[in-house]
Amino acid sequence: MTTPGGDAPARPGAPVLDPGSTLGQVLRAHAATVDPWLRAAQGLGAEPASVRAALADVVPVADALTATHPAPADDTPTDAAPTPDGPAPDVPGADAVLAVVRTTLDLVARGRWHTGRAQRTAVVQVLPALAPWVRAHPTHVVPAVVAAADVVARTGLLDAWSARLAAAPAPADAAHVRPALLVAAWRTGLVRYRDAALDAAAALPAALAGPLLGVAPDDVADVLTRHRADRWWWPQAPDGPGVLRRVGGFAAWGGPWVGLPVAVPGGPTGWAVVADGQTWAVVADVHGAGVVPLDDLDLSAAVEAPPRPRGAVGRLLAGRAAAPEPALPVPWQDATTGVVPGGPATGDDVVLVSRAHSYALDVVRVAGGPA
Amino acid sequence: MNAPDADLTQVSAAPTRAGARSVPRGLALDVAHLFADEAAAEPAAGGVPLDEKLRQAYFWMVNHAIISPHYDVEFSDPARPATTFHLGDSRAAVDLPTDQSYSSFVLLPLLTFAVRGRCLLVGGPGRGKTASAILMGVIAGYPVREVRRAMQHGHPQLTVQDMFGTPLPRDLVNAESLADIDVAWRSWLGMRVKIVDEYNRIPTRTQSALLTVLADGYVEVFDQVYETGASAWYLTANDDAGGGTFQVVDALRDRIDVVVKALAFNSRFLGDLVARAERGLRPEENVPPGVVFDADEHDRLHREVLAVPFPAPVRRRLEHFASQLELLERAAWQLEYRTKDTARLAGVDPHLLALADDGRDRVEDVGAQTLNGLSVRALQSLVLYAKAMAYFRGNAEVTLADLRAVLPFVLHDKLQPDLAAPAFDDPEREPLRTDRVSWIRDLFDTACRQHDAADLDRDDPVGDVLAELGQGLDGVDEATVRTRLARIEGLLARWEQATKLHGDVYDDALALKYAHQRYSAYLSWLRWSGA
Repeated sequence: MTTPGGDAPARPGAPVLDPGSTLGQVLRAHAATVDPWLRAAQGLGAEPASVRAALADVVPVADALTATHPAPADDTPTDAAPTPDGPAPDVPGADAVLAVVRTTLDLVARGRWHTGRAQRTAVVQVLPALAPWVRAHPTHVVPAVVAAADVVARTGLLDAWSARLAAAPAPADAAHVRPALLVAAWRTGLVRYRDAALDAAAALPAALAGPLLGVAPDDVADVLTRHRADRWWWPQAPDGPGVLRRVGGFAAWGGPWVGLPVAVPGGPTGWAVVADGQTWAVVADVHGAGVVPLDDLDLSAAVEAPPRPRGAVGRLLAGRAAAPEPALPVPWQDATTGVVPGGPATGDDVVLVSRAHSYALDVVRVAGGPA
Repeated sequence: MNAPDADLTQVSAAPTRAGARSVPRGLALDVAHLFADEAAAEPAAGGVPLDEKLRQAYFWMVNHAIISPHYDVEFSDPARPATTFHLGDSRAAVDLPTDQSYSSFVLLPLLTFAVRGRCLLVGGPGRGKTASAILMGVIAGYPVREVRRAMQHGHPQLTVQDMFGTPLPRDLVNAESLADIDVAWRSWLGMRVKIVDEYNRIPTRTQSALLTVLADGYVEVFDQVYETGASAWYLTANDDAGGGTFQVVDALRDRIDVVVKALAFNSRFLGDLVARAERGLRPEENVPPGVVFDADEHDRLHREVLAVPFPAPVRRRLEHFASQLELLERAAWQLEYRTKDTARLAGVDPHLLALADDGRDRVEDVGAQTLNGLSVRALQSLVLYAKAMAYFRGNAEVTLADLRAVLPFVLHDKLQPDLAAPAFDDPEREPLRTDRVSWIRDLFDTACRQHDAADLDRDDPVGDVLAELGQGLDGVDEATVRTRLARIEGLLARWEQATKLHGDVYDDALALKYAHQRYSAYLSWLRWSGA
């Protein structure tokens, strides 16, 4: 195999790949396949030392992906140093390792192989946890997981997403890989994928969708139908009055705002927030919540004249005092600055509440049904 | 040729502009967004909307093909004004735009491709003008080799027949009439992207032949006519002033829709050049299939651009600006002839006649800074490119920002500055003598400020008169006509006392005269018919 950099000695301190490792054996056995990838990476400006370091990071990944394969009878003992020119034995599960190598080289060439970078984390941590998936469909699973990891990691939910996927069996059909990753992302808390994920989950086999959703396979269809109708319902989720979810927060602690948010009706979801002179849409369900800035919607006028909620909430809040708010089943005592019912999508018994002394909003289920 | 390169041929699958009309406007995200970082050399199943594809082509060009780290076509979100810093003794402004901004050197040729217009790329040798034009040919789906072969290189011996085709020698000997002579047409004439390198080195006679192809889409040799069809044209010149071997024919210059300058290379990006040289990669040989437009897509792209609405408020701004430029009060007695064009046709320098004007503020008067007005062709180009810009930015209709962005590039060679005008005497405005893009943009901004000051968006009596007339005269009775005539005369009477004859007033007066004439003729007919 041609190593990047030719015969140039490795930089002092740069890791040297052990040719006896699983990865080393796969690379030697498939040199004709890997060499063009290495040349392409080098052509894109990848430093030979960076390539070596990245491949050294992948050694344990290759071990994990091939761990469950029984060693063939004629397998070369790993402690015997292979001769560089000798024939390299193939390794069972090599396809999975090669898919990881290809993606790794691509990430190195694109300058994305750095500690802390989600895509590198996906290769070195998520893929070993998904070994059965990778072995079943290497060319589908590896690039899809690495690409999606970048999006999922932005919400801080990479570990939970990975654990949810690992708990599910490998898809029997490669076409189910991407929908499965999508369903897991939504179920982990990426609420903006809800609509796409509900459609995807309905199309997956129940044996795969069940573990991804965290429900028994036999219940998948019923749960999806019921959840479509009520985004705050889920098996075993509390269904009494109280705070269902907290949204937003102060910018210094990872939230979106530096000013106090005020809940107002409007926007594409019916729940909007005015904060920092900007209008935001609140997207939330039983599994997660998020806020999205709306560039073309100005609801600041609603802050000055908040509408009076009608129906059940209106009755609850009729003649409400400035503070505290006695009618809301919340664990705090504060003056509310906005109370917005969910409307047709959610029902008027679930409201978005902002208050005078908090940077977070609360999604609260009040007692009583819709008016 | 190098093998296609995985990185070089990558087109982002993520939407290139949030909120664009082809991007779903809801908050829901889908599977394509989740896996957006995956290399996607092929268009997604179901096809990418063409405006998104056009943006992908732009970003591929600026990321991989042309090192142009400039953002001179600036857009800012009205809610988030641009931050500005001032550097140096001249207080050079460094604006930090708050909305997606673009490099004119890449964007304008791409818009030209979309509208099948005519783009002149100017700048010193080796600045990437020809490379940019070749990329446009490749984006149209032609192989690189074919694009290079089809490119016409201007030189002093270039004849009409060299350029367009030669009669077959056999026919020249045997033919009994010109109609019998077959012409072997050059293959480049049928291409959807046509490139003429160094067009200012082409002899005048050949330029005139080129003019018919550019303007009318046909070419004639020995009584044989070849229809070239609609295509995007790219012409290059090393000298913006047309100072090549031959003077460029004015009519040919006027046919050019946009002029784009190759901006200076930023030395901070020399590393990219070094890396590209070491890798031996040629972007034009690695264009991703996902940004190539076939003939059908090219047609559809053009149609979709034309369908972008040009709303009345934006149109009024353009009308107000254009109206400022043509008036030359001292050029004639009769109102209709009091224009700069009258002076030019008479061989008189408009500047000398403008000096005789008094009473108007020649610093604030936009028209005092130009030696000519806008032709109909220039206005058509403006409308077309403003639509293309709106389409590219994903806007549902043309905005004032879209119009303002393209205006300097479209009018670059069409508006001639009167460098002796008092507006250039201010030391702060001295650079506008050489920076024509900024000068034209400043002209438009000044006209817009005056439009706002006059509150014409809300109070436009002439617009009301024309709108009333536009509703038709069918069924309008005599009393109503008389009322409207009185209103027109009242407006003119009011101006007689209180208004200087500015360009917009001049155009409005002519419009009122037109409306008056229409009503008068209708009134005569009403009386005759006894209705």
